[in-house]
Amino acid sequence: MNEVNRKLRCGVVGLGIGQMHISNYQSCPYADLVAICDINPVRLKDVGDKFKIPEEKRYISITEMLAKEHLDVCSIAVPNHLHKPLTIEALEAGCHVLCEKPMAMNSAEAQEMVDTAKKLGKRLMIDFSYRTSEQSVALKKAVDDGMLGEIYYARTQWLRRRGAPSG
Amino acid sequence: MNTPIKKLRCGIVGLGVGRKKHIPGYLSHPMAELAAIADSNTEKLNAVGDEFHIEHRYSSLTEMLANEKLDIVSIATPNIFHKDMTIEALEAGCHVMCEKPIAMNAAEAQEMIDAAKRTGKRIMINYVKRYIPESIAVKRVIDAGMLGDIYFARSVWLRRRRLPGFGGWFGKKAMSGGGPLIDIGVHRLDLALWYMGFPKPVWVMASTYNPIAKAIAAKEKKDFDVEDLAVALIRFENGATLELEASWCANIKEREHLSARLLGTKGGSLQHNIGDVYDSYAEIYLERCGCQYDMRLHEPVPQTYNCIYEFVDDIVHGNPSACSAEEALIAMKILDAIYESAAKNEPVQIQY
Ligand SMILES: NC(=O)c1ccc[n+]([C@@H]2O[C@H](COP(=O)([O-])OP(=O)(O)OC[C@H]3O[C@@H](n4cnc5c(N)ncnc54)[C@H](O)[C@@H]3O)[C@@H](O)[C@H]2O)c1
Repeated sequence: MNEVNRKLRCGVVGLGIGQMHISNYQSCPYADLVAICDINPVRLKDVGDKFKIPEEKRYISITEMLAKEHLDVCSIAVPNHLHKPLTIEALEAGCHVLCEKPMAMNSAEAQEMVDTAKKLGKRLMIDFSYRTSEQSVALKKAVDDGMLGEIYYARTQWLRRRGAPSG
Repeated sequence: MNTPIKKLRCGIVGLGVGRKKHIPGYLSHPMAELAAIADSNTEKLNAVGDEFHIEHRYSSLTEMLANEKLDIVSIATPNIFHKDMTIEALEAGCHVMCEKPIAMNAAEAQEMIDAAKRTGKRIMINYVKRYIPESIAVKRVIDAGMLGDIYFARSVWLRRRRLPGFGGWFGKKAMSGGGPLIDIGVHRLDLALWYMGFPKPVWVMASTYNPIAKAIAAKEKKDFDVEDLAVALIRFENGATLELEASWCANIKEREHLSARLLGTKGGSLQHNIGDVYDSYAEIYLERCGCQYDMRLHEPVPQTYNCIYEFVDDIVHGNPSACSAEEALIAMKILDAIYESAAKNEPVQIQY
């Protein structure tokens, strides 16, 4: 079935957008969402209850979760300044990491993360979720199929009138 | 008001857009007399002369100036002739209504400005896009301070497939100075600069491409050595940024897509064409009392006249005229820098 021949043990750190990760792991036949982590105890409880995560599988500390759960996969969905340290911590604990966008605070941090993943032979994927929309997938197929020829100009934008994320 | 009794005697050289825009322009002003026309193409000269009952016809500007005492001359010939003809007309004592782009490059534009100063005559550029009701309306809102400081603008004119006079002078860099950028992009550039209050441009990062027109030209065995798409990012001394795009050929949905977006500290605006034609639509975006409002232009829209009418009117009344050569020079510096940046594959700093 995969490199470990069993369902992958998955954990999620950071329970804002991380809740999407939880439900997606829960709906994936090859994944077991085994543990979650957030430093905010109220959120940890609310999200744990919502997704029916056993209380002993809810962690305040990522270090503790990584030590106890022997995860194959760890999602990092915390504020941007923590992407690098937590990703590296999870990689070093033997996990493949799915890190939220933006990858890091700057390219130097991103380079460190790439270097660490390479050194440890682990995967590091960034959650560019718009790549997996039906339209994006279809469009990318058309591009790969040569339907557009060579792309020489692209313009991409996301403008909001008012809508800075809270949190 | 020092309204002269005598009408202003006007002449036109170049009867493409000269016939389409300049003749009706002069005919629209009661103080203008369309005295003479010139074109090197005799057939065209006679056809236009017959159509509008203009008897005084010349095969060159020089001949026209030698035989007619003109107050205003329109220069509506291919871009390569704008500079020399403008200077020639200025030196013959005429005010000049020159077509866009003002010239092939900024150095030429500067020469024209110098000549106008020397002769004490005016130059106005036929920036038709400023004189549509929506543009006038948006400009009034900006001048009233409703948008605050404009710090970002995006102005585009994209055509899916439409090469002007394909095989003719428009596609030959030596005669046109460039492709869609200098031809239709210049209108969008002028409009944005006008809205933004002509801030001083400092940096330009740009690319030009020519994949589609080049292929068509090769197939049809036509001369074509200019871009079919140009894109640029322009940065101003006041910190503002302008995005500019222009194409004659691009694989887009619209046959014609014109738009100008302005983001200001107090409000924004979007003006665009509708229905693949040149009808224009304008909206203003505002926040009031913590709520978001859209303001839409309704009939009756401001009454507008064409550039040529305005030029005649300003001369008659002794008012300064708009669309000056000095403003056109700023746009020309940007266009030069865009072509330079594209050729060098690097950002270009505009030198002063
Ligand atoms: N303001 C606008 O909206 C607008 C629209 C179209 C064109 N233009 C500008 O007008 C100018 C002319 O463009 P066009 O579309 O009319 O081109 P065109 O080729 O249709 O017409 C140019 C005319 O100039 C004549 N001509 C060429 N060389 C001449 C010479 N040495 N002496 C006398 N006549 C000469 C040609 O015979 C032709 O009749 C260009 O600078 C163009 O950028 C502006």
